[in-house]
Amino acid sequence: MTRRAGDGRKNQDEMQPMSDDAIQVRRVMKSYGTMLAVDDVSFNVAEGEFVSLLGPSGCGKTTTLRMIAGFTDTSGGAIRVHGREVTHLPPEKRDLGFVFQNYALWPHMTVAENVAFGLKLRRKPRDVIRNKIEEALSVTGLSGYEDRLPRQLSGGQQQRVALARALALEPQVLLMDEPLSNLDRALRVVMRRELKELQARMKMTTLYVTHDQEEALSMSNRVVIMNGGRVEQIAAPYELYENPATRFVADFVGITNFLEGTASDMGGGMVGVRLPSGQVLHAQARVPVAQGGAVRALIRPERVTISPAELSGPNVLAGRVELSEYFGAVLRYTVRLDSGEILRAEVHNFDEFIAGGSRVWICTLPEHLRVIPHDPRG
Amino acid sequence: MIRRLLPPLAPALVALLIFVALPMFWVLRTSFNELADGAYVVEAMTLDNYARFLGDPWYLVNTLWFSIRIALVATAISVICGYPVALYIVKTTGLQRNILMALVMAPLLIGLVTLVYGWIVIFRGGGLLNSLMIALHVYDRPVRYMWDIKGVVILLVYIGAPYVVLSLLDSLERISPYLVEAARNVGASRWTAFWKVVFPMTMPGLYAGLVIVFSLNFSAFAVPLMIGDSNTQMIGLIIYREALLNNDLPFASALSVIMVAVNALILVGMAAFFGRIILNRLEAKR
Amino acid sequence: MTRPDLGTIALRFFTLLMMAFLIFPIAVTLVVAVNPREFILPPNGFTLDWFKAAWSSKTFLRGMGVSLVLGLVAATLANALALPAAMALVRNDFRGKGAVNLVLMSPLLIPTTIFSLALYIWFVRVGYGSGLVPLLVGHTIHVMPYALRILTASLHNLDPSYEEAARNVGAGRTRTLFSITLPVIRTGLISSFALCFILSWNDFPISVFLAPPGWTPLPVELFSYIKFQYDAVAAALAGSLILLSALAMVIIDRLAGLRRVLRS
Repeated sequence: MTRRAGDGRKNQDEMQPMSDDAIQVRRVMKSYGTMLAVDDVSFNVAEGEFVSLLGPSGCGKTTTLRMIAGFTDTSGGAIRVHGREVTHLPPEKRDLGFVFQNYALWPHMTVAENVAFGLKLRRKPRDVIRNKIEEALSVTGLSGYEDRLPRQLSGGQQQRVALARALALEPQVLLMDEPLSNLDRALRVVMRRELKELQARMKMTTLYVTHDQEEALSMSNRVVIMNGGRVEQIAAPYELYENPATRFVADFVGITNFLEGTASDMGGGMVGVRLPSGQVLHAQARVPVAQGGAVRALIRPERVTISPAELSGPNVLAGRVELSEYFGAVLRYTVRLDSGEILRAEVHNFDEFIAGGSRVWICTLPEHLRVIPHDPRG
Repeated sequence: MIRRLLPPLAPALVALLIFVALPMFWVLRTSFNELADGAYVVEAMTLDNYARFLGDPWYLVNTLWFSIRIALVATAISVICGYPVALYIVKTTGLQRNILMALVMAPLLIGLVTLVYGWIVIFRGGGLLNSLMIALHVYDRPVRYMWDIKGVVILLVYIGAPYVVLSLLDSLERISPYLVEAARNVGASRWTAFWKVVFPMTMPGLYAGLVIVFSLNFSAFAVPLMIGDSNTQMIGLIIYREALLNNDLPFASALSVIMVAVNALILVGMAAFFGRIILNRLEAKR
Repeated sequence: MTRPDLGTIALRFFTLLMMAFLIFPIAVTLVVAVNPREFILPPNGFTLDWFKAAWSSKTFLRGMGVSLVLGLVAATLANALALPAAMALVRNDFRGKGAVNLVLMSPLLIPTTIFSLALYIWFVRVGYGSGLVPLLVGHTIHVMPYALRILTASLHNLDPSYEEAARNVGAGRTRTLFSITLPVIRTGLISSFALCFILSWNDFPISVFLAPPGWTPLPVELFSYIKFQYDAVAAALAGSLILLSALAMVIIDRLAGLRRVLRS
């Protein structure tokens, strides 16, 4: 239970490469009986970086965060914070800030006492504590609320207190577990911006767990997408959307059309996808795919041209509009391709409305078409 | 796991082992001992104490059978009195409910002696109840409640009925009002809706209440001690008297064993009866 | 709301009758306790003389002292035993948890008569003559299941993230227990203590078996008194006990909800 420094040295080889990353998670596992909640997860968070763990509920993101904080034991792997092995340290020895989903403000303490508790444990002088409380509350916009009890505050204010409590201790790293999910939507958007600004201003290394892709994409430097206890992809938000590595990522981040086919090398950085109909789509090769291997072509709905007049070219697919929906700023078409697949298309700058039942031609540019290997997991 | 569980659980479990399990075992052992010279317990292995009770028709009729009967009667009255109250309380809300609940629970929290005192004032010869009854022309001469079986039954009901109400409320509160509405909706009368929907669903609560109240009644000794007489020699009272007044611990122990055994038998009987009722209903549905 | 039908009216009437039945002896005791004409009803005024007499009786004061000490010690010990057990039961899932819980609640299942007799015989057996220990033990064990029940319920409602948050800002296990856990569940602790105290304070069956000479708790004292004397002083004493129980009821109900506590 209390493995310490001695074993830490042995693990150092596994922790290669040594880096000055703020958080290193290496091959971390968590099993409950035969169930693997977290399965071989590794990622780093650099100093000052904002990284999100994104995934559907039950994907292991919160368990991973709780293992980093020390609330949950690991079943395997190692966790380092600023180069210090913390895998088997109790939570109080890890010096990490944590903001809980339900804020976990101690109900019997005032705002100031909540913020002061950790400082008192560190035996800081009284005036230092007072200054730090003042500072943390002013940073989070809560000056004047010192003597309120948590239950006398709104959800947004409680959220700020939770943040102030974490920040007052000037932790090496801030961990946040869906901190905005209990707020209503309008407030969530405001808090999201404030949080991001604050994080950038303080250059606070932050690991943020959320199931809300908008939150993750808009706030993070990088996003770790998790599914079924595993990491699907680690990338910057733009990369995730533009170059999803797996079908799951493509599906989870935005809406994507999938067309299955086999790969053929076209040379010149191009790859061809031969559809069952025999038609070959042209795409820029971004991910290595095996010649003749099963692949999926990904087409984002907003990256297509749709026309009632016949188009010509390599990436033209013919079909019939099954449903056209008007949303004001956007028109959404559901098209049944001649090959039988369904393809969704969105048009933002439209000057004509194609009625359901019309015959249409859809075209996508090779640089907008992505190809990923066929993943048997679906 | 054991290392994490043992330290917090051990003190309570050890206390229960030393002060409940071992003493209970020792009651069983003592029931086979002998009493010498009227005061000293002598180690033995005899069934004399059991024979003395079970072989004596007076004990069997006036103590054991009497205790069973009075406990059953008081339990039945408690259920009859408690059931409608629970039915009414479950429909109330807010202040009304709080007041009703407080009144129901008061007898359970106010000490027995205190309550008995109130009843003595009511019961005694020239007391309140007799004055009231005579004034209302229910009868014209004072009736004896104190030191009489009537008083004992009334007190057992007084303590038992609240338990029935509480157990039934547990069941009643789990019944969704939609169930009753649905039954009414398909044409059931209020009475049918109650009898076919609500009543079967209160069986578990009713059973729990019966178990508690019967056990309490059957083992009662303070109530017959305080307001009973020579005709209300309940088995708990005999245990008290043999142990504390006659200092006959082996006999008191044997009586305790008999009491627990008979109580268990009757509860098993009740369980079988209730089990059959519930099974019958399931059969009928099929 | 629809117009109440005949069934509902009958139910209400019956409930009122039962409530009258339940409140009857309590009300009568309180009325007699402040009625200047001893036992002659209806009352013709208000007096606290009977209370004064009851509260200046040496016997009663001593009984009160004994009951007070007994109640405080039993409530403290019962909670000290029940709290760690409740924490272990709430925080962990393990095979046999139901069985452990049943064992811990077992004092509720044993008739008080037999439990008292068993302790009486046991202490004679182990050679401990009459003294205060059996009485204290009897009361403690008798009320412990109630403490366990309230504390388990409070700990169930305690959000584990309160404790995690404390650990996270640097508090060790002990510090977390005393600075966070206990203060957060203090309402449960107070009501648990109040319930244990009042059950011990009002207990008659256990005390009558186990009280040593010279250490007679108040209910037993009251019992011996009304056996031989019949006056309004006893009513005043009984009235005091009722008021104290009512106070405890209010405290427990405000803090923990009486219903949950008394389920048997």
